[in-house]
Amino acid sequence: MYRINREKLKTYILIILILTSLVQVGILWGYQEHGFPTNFLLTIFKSSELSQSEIDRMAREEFFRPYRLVLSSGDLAHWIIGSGDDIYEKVWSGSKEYIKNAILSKPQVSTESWDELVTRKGIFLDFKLNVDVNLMKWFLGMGSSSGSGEGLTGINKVFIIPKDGITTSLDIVYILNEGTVHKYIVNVDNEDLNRETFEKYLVELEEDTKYEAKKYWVIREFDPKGRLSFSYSPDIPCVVEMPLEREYSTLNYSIPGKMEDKDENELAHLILANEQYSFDRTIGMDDTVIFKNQNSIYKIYNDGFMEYTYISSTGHSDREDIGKAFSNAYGFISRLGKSLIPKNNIYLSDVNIKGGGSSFEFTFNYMVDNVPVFIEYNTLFGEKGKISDAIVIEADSRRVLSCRWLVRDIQKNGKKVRYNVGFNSIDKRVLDETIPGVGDISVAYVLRSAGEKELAPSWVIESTTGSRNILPLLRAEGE
Amino acid sequence: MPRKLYAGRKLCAVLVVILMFAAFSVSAFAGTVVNSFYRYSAVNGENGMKLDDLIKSRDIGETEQFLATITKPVGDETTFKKSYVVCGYSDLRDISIAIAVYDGNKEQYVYVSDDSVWDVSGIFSKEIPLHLGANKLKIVAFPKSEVNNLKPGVNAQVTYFTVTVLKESVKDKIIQGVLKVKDSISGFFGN
Repeated sequence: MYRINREKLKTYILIILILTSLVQVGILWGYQEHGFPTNFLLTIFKSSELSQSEIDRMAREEFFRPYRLVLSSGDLAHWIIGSGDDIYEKVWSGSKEYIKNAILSKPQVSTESWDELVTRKGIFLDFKLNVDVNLMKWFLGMGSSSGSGEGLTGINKVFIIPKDGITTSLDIVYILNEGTVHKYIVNVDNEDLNRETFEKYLVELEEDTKYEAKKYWVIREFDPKGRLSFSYSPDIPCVVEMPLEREYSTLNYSIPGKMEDKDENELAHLILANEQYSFDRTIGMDDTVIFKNQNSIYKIYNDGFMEYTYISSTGHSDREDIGKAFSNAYGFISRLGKSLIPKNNIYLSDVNIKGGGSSFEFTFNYMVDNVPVFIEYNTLFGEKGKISDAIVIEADSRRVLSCRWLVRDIQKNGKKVRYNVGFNSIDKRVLDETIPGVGDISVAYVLRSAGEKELAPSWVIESTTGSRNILPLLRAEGE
Repeated sequence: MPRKLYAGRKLCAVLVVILMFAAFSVSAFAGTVVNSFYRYSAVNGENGMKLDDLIKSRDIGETEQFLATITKPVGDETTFKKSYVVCGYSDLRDISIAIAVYDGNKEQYVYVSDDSVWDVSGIFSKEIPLHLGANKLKIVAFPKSEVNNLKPGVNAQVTYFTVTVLKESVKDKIIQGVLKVKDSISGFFGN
């Protein structure tokens, strides 16, 4: 009897030892992944978490959008289509097919200059940034390392002419990359954007009065022979024909309440989620909340500016996969964005290759109702000084390495005002002084300080090198 | 003493040359406003024309675009629309622009609309109505203050363009024509 009890006791002790050893492995595992010590069990049994392919799909859907999608009739009428417009998804989905086919084709020498193309009938896409061709392939689900995309390093702007059977019997795609026009002859059979549907969209745009406020010229049409005294990108949209007045919403913005009230436990829950217990919490100077573990450090400043740094010394590989890096950046932004500013619309505005390809820096900015929000903000804390982008995030194919984020909750406040957006209302002296040339002119919101709470739109004149000049936008008469 | 006098004269001559050189060079460094102001302020007395007379006249020749640059139209154009936007810019202050169209019945130019004279500064654009057929346009730029004393080429800039409005049916005929040619070529080559 005594012998049996002794054996039982041994068994129990053995079970306890096995379990504690498992927990210990879990703790070590958890430290590697910055998670709670039992996270390893969740990762084994998880079913509700998203798979990598699901995350990639969401990254493509949410952040792979052109900055400007324009349908042109070729007769002094260009409509900027917003994501809220009925035809947007079809035009965008069709355009992706054309770009995909172009990347798979061999480029031809283009006899047409970009100046000529922008005034023609077709579909124009401006990505704002020069999208690295490997990232573009990843966005299009082509596999970023496939051998296509001959002679193409990036894609800045695209002009598509669907075949009409009169002037062209094949589809033509022009891609602007670092000032060079690449021409691709493709054959795309896409019902969302063939000649028939394209013509149908144009009729709808011409006839439906709701699109009147989305109708523009391009600056080349204002100045066909290049007589203006400043140089410029020929595809800049400008309002020349009546009506010169357009309505814009006024915005309210604030530091998200959850960050401003700043209970560090609640913040830890929002920002670190189930990793919160592996981080030490301290309050630094100026009430900065710091979360730190052996691999990472988060700093949340009083003005809603947040910094993240991966501090582990794990080395980089020579050449990283830009698609995977983007997916990691998306995961980071998506996780924090959903906790802090769930309703904000964010778009990809720049990509830089760092360290010869060992990591990538992605820049994102806010957009409300297809109107960009530019940042001209001097942070009160940290060492970063002037901030000109909402989110700058560096990532490689394994993880996010750093992030600087000016977290702002930006919402429409219901107030709408009509402004004079006529091209002739812009102070020409500012355009003359934009060196080396005017890259873009847009009506945009400019977020300057933490003090203001309301944002009205302004003129933003961007140079071809990215510097900005901000001018007041005058209200329409009677407003 | 004569040597000193000679040296003094030489110095004076050099100074005079320098002063003359500087005086003639100043205009080269002047901005457009000063330069253009000099050009259009050269009308003295009351020898110039009134704007209305300048507009009506058929006999005034085209001048250089020294007060305002017309960026559109750039030459004679054809359109299917019954309105046209004249575009341009001026770097001068207090400049006005007037647009007129030739009226065959009156055999003179007439203002294109009720508000066809307006002040410009920097970039400008003006939408004007057109009639079917050839619209011979006259665009006059002038300093606002000299509206009653204008001399073409001195303080008034005169530019002519013709914008022809075609019927929409012409557009369809052109497309049909192109299609027919395409079909014939396809038929000829068996495709």
